[in-house]
Amino acid sequence: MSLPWVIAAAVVTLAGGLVWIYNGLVRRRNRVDATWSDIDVLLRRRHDLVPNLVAAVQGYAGHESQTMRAVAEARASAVSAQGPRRIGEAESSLAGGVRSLFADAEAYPQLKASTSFVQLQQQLTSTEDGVEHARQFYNDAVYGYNNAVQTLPGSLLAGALGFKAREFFQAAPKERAALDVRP
Amino acid sequence: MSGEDLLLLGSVACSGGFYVAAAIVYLLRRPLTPPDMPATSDVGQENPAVANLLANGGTVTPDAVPATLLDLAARRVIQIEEPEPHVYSVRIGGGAAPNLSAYESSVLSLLRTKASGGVVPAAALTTGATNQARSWFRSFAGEVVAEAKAAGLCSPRWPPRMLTVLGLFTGGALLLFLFAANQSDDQSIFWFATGALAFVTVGASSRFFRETAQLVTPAGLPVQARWLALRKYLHGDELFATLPPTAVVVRERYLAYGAALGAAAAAVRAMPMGAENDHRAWSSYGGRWRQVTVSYPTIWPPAWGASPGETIWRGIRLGVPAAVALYVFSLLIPSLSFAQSSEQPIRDGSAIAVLIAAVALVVLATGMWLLLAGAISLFGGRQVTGDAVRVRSFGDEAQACYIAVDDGTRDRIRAWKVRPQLYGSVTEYSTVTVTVSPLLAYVRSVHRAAVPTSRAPVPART
Repeated sequence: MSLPWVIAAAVVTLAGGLVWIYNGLVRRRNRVDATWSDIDVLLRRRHDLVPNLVAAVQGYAGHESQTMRAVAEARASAVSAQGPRRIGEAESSLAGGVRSLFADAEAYPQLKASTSFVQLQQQLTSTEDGVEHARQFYNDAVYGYNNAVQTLPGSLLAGALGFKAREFFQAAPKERAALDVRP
Repeated sequence: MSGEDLLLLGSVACSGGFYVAAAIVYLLRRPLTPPDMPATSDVGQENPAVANLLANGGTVTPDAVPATLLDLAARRVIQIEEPEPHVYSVRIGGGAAPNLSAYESSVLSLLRTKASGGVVPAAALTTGATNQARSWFRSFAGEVVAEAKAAGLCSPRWPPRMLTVLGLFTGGALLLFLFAANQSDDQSIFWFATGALAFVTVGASSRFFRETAQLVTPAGLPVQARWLALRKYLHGDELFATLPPTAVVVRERYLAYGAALGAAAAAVRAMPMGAENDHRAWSSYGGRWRQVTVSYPTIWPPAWGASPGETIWRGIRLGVPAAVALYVFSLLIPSLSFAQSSEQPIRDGSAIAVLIAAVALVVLATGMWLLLAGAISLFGGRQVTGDAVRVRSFGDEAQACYIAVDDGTRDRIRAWKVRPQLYGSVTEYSTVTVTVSPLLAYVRSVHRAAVPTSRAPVPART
């Protein structure tokens, strides 16, 4: 085989390798985005449910308590938070607030017996479970993506092409405690 | 046209009818293509085994069994533990399990039969010997199919009514040919061709009658599409395939669905719920779970498992002719010669005589050993109590029946060959007391031991 052919073969192999690495990075990044969008949907659902919960408790309590104000603020922070880490922290505060709100609701037996309140509890529980599972899939995706970006041969291209390591969506210490919102 | 020709023509027509009917059913009941759905993490209401059936185009695959086990763990009916790194065991709760389907109950019953102190090592989760495992799986798959059918998700690919029609065509083809064969004096090429076609039709029909694949119904297609979308989603998760079975604590039913959909390879591999290995067995006899190796002697040692009387008789039958041959050889010794000066026929004859004498010597030694072993076995004997870790028969008519008993003293066990009547009285993993002779290992009696003497202690629950 002559030298030009060897060079041509090397160029083709190199180009093929670069395409393969690039496609792998893009595929992993898309997976991270897709799994994040699953979390996003569930968090939005939780954000939508919380005002209903506050309204239901307020309806029986007859006034706005400190806990309700804290939950409303936590929700506002969660809605405006950006980035997995910030969102994780804000969602932890919100989850803590919801937990306190359910504790307050214990004082109102009629509220606990209300069908709409029970439904709200169930919806929040299933949303909470969904967030937990989606978080695992998201973190799996981030793990694979970050490995690809930070190890060879992906690291050779990642920086130049704008692939940056992503943050994990971790449960804050408060959220790690079991959130018992079951009726 | 003779009556024989008419019968042959009728046979050909029946065979033809069979193939036409089969082709029509095949074309009309082709599997429908489910709608393409983007990858999703949404799971449905169906159990993992039904998801396995739908995702595999109407066939239950062996992965459905460990998937069901993982599902039971996700629902806290059982617990999966890791007592040592990469060694898993299943702990069964004592209480009644609520709302279990028939196949989930089968898996739970299987676990209960294998459990010692409520714990089964994952490696001992097999579903029995090959035939037994096949039959267990058939029953499991049948129950999964029944649930899917009840939910309107599938129907048999080959409906019973159609199978009846195919059976009639097959029977007609064979019977008409046999009638024709009964009447014919000479066989033409047409006769042979018709006969061949009839028998090929019988062979082909047996394939249809064995067919258990299901056809996903139009109502089941969206459900099938959803499971395929989840499979796509789980396959996209690089870590999912590496998760151990204990990850069920955090992944919950997702791991079970992953196992059912072929996306949780490591978890499935750690829970081998297929046919059990004839040569490796788990035993808890002696106080701890351990793996033992089982061998099934056939040729060596000689007369393994034979009765002393039979062995003595065999020794006489071998030893006497060999002794006679050696005696004749001793008489011939003076006339044997290997010298170059001797004639060629004498040298050849001498070589053959020496060869025969060598063989006779080996046969005599075997005969003597059989006589000795038989005589010793007539009087000696010992009792062994342990778990029958393997109960196996080999050959078409169970000519060779073996029981491997682990008494907790060794990790390599030679299975004892037993008479069919004794073999039938032993079930696998039962504790038995066997009276066995020395040398020949002739099993005189097998009794179920009254009380299991020593079992693996139940690990502390943390």
